Amino acid sequence: MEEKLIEVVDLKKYFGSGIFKKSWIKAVDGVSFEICSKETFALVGESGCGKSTVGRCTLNLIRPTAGHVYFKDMDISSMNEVSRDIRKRIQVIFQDADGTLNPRMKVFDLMLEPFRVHGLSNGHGKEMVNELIEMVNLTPDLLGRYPHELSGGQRQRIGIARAMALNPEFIVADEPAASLDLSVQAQILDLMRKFQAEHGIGYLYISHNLKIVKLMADKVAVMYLGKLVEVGRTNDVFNCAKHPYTQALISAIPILDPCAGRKRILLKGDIPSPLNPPAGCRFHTRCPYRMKRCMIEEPALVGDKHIVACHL
Amino acid sequence: MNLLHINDLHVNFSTKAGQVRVLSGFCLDIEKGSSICLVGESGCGKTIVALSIMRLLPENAQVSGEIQFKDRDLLILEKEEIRQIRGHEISMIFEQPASCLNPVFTVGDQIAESVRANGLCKKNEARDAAIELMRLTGIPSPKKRFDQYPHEFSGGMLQRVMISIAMASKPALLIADEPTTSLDVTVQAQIVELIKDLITKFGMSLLLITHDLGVAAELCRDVAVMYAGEIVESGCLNEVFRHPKHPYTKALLRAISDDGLRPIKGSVPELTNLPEGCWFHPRCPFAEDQCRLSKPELKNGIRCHLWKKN
Repeated sequence: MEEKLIEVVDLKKYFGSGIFKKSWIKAVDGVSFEICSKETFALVGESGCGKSTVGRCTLNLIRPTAGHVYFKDMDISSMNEVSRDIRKRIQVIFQDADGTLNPRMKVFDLMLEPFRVHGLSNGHGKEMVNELIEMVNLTPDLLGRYPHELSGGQRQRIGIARAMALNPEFIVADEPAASLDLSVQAQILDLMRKFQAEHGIGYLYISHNLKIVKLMADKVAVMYLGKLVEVGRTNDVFNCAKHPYTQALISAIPILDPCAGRKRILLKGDIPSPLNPPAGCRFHTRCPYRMKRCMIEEPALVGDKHIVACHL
Repeated sequence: MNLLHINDLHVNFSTKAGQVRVLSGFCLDIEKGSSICLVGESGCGKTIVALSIMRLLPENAQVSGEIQFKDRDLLILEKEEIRQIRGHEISMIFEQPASCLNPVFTVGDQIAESVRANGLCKKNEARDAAIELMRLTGIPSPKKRFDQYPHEFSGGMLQRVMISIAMASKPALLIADEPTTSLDVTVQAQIVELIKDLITKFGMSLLLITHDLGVAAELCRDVAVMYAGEIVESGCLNEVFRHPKHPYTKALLRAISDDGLRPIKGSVPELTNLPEGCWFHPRCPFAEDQCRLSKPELKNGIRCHLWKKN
């Protein structure tokens, strides 16, 4: 049994909206899950469903409105400021590596930064950076350059290198490959898997690309309008999706072979506004199988290993 | 009869760093009613092909070759004449619909503007024509949404607005540059279905530019795979995706597939500093001596010295 790394219990995050903050946007509304070491837990869903907010709350980059996040039985969500020691062990990779790299710093300084911040550089900085840059398959001649002189894939690798520098135990990867080309995506994901195998890192992988999730994740949680609708092992979820939303998401993945016949479930309309989520099951406005009960009563998450929130 | 015939198109940019060869000897034929897709990594020149057709390249571009559209060479037409074609007979939709629409005009006005620009109807009829177009592209309650501004629309809806504008003239050729890249999977599926419907309904030709091989497979009959500014493999999409011949196509198809990740080693060469011989040889697992020395020609839709062996 792998060690439990992260436990999220009934996490809620509401944002005030309007000038007087009278109405609340329920970005995340009661989400619970656990992540073990060496495990990749994927969070999927459309934009605006609250995936990234969950990621940020997990890191305590934003404070949750309610609920708890435990990192190895320490409640990080209730700490006012997360200690350096914990920050070192939890890291994040963002979609947009550009935005996280200081454009005025050279690659060398960017790579040294994590060591410096945690007071670990003491004279060996150069060796550490060299080791690190090799780890992510970049050549040392890039060290003297500025971020804008690098390609997107190279920048993302530096983002990964910075996250990996301090041997973290848990990483939140928020769409790490979304802005990259196919072949570069494959390189980045391969790199992430390599680190996981070597260092036993747990990942919270946030993405809307189901094709990649299928390859990367051990467990998948599908999110819709701030709630989880289905959680299970990757194989179970992809092979026998139970929630109609998951089924629609999976059928929307474009496939390469045009002759492979399949029925596509086309969802009508857009995701409703989280300001005013529909009553009952939140998916009922777009669900092809909705019944009367779905409009009134909100379904609970049920099941043992493969849990689903649906009346059907 | 070819609707569009591109022959030996070269595009160079003069920059401070020197001449950048973006397209070299690019050839493509699009028949009436057919759909073709350009795939490849960023920087391989896909978008430049589209911009050359529309004559929208920046001023430091040097273009040579010919682009025949209905027996007229688009590259030598006067500015006035090209405006008769751009947005009328050839329309284009872009990756970022939000940045193509003017935020201070209502969506309806902008669709009506393109209807009027086509001279298809009088001013007072333009509103009805625009609403009709919005209905055609599946925008719900078009009468109400006509008077809304772009920021009140979601990304998928804005892309539908862009398609409405492009469809105003019932063009003969629709160029779609990454039309679904910025959208969610479920919305992507909706837009793909919409484009598919429209091209069959109006018998348009489609030039799709994408790096998503799945979207390409859903929409197009033919495909051309580009690498560093030239086509490395082209042909019927079914055939190419099922039995790829060029090592680059093979690698691209296998990079992220159901049975795992197989990244292509190395990265795309810089266009200012292309390798000798075949441009793909530094990353090619099968490269031999002749690949390092001489550059292969495009023969039977494939640009490789070794394809018969593999």
